[in-house]
Amino acid sequence: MRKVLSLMIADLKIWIRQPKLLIMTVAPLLIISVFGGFFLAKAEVLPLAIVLEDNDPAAIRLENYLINLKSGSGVTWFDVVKNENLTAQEQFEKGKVLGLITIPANLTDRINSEETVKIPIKINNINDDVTKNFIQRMQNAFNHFNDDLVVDDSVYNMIRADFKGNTYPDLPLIKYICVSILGLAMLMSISLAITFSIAREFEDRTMRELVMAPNLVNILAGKLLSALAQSILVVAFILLEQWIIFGYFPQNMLMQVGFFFWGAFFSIGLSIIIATKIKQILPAGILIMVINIASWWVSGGLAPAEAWTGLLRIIADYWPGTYFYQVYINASLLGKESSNLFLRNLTITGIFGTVMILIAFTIFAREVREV
Amino acid sequence: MRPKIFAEIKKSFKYWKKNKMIALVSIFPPLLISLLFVGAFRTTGIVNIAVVNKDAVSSSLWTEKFLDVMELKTGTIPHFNVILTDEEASGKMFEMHQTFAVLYIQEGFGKSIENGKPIPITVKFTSVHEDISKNVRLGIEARIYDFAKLYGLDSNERPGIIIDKKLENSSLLRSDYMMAGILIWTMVFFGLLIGGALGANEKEGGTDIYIEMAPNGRIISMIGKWVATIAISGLMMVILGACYVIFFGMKIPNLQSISLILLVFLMLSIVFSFPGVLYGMKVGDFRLVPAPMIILSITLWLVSGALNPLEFSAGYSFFKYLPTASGIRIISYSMFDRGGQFITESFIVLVLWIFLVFVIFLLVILVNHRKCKPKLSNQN
Repeated sequence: MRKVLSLMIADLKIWIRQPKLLIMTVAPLLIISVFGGFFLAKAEVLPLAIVLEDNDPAAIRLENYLINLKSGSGVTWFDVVKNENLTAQEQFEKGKVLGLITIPANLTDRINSEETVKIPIKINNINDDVTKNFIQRMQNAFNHFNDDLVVDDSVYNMIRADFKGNTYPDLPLIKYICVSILGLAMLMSISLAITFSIAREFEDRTMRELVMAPNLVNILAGKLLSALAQSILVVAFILLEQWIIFGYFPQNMLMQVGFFFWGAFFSIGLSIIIATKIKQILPAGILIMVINIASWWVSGGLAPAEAWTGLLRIIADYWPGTYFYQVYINASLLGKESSNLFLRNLTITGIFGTVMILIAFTIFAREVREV
Repeated sequence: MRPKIFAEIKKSFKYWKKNKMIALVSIFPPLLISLLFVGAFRTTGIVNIAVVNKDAVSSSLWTEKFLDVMELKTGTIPHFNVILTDEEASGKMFEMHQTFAVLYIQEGFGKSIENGKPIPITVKFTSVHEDISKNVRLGIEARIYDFAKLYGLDSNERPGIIIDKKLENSSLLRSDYMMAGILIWTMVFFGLLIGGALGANEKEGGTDIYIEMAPNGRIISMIGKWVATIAISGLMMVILGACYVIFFGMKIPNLQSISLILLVFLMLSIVFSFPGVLYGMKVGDFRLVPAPMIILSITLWLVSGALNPLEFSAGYSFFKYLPTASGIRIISYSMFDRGGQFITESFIVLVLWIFLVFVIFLLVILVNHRKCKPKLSNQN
């Protein structure tokens, strides 16, 4: 065991002395984490100018709905600017607000006369996605307004939806992104560590000496332990970054350790195959990064795979990575996951991992013989 | 001096041809970025939703009408594909992540609509992802609005308010807008990365000493690599541009757009390939080039209006002076006819940046001369 440990330390020293490898491992994760966190994980608060043509109580009620409308996680939907008509129009034209709603005069009287009142809304339409959000938020506010509407002695109701999430309140997107990136850090760091370790031996032409050494098992065990240690350091670094910048820290660290080893088993085989076939650190490392990042993305890195549509959904269903991220993300966020799902996904990823490891050793043995 | 510069350019092309791996490294990140960012916003908008209709036994007309509205493929996305199922199967679907939402319609729902007191519908959904939660909540609310509008408000069956919308600009998909930004990012990235690779190759190959020894060798090498970077970036842009058109649906509407894109490419390449070459010469190792160049180019891209037009982003008054922001504005105008009012300002900003780069270039020559002078006088 002492020999294995000293080999592990020797291998770790090589890794630490090569800042290029460290940069290659940490930089992409850091980039995705920081940029994903800052730019993709924010709910859009849309600037809106409201013009009231008079101080009619119904108009004020609608205005209040618009001001107080919130997302499931408590984010206010509109950043409301109350203005005179001319100023609001000016602000809209200058692009300071994205929408302009003019609530017409005598709203109460018009509704009392059983009229369907059209409320004019101007939208900048900077793109269809923002406009869609704008309209839907308006529809939400209008549904509120139209519900329980009393005219004379009649009450007019709307269908109400009772939303029941699997956690309350809805989790902010940043938490999802942080967890998924932590999952990516687990899979990618172990993959890169294994790849660098094997490709380096081929690149430095030391593979022959390595396999001919009398204590090969010790060497391989040392390298594997070193790869695991490298991976733990990288994951810990990313976790620290997420904690400091985004305030995310997993609830159950023991569960994270379990997932780390599950991820390692899932990833090792493919990394060995790539490193053995390519035999050069840089291209093998880049390929591993590309596969891992693309896998993270398609498997639910940015959004749960079940919400994908079209071709992406089909790819996600057939890609085994989906089944790791699915359980990892949900279990980390909810604190638990259904045992049926856990068992199914563990089986799928376990079979994939085992098959890959078997193929990897076959290829490795053949390539080493040819060296 | 000119033949030497041409020789340097030729050498750079040979280096690029020989090191195909570097060419591959430069193609992967743009494709990945496009997939990650643009792909996330490119959606068919049609999603499956499991529906447990407990009102099916009485085959209520109003329930049928509501489900028809749920399946409408007009109006705002998400559009729903209703998958009718029973309670047990829907529970399993939700548990196994085969659907992200289940809609429950209670018995007597249709009748309650008829009576004017609708029984609320229940929506069980995954709320671990704010964007999905938002789409479930607002998507269902939108269908409720559509239902009320179709069967109550439009036909004056009941009073209320409806939206009378007016869009200031024509339709533009967010993913299409983002492609314009990605085109600019690719130009910047290539300038920095290819410049860095060419700049680093002398030290890597151990030939930097010969460059230093030749009269004006460093300057000639720098100019040659700078020009070569622009030319190679141009070729790479053609390949990437084709990929963007084929795989990510980028559309270039007319010849005027192409000429504007070419002009922006030339200006941005001049600005960014020079620091790329300088950095490469300094570090002398290609492996140290990609990471900082990716970070720098992505940062510039994101703060320059990558997701939404700059005027709707934070830090607008400062970031509008970035060359990347000007580039995105010009490309947006050329491709989508948006933001024509910013074009003159954007071109002025780009010209000023080119001027600044040339000033830095002259300063580098000056510093280089000063460094060489004492060496020559010592030799004499």
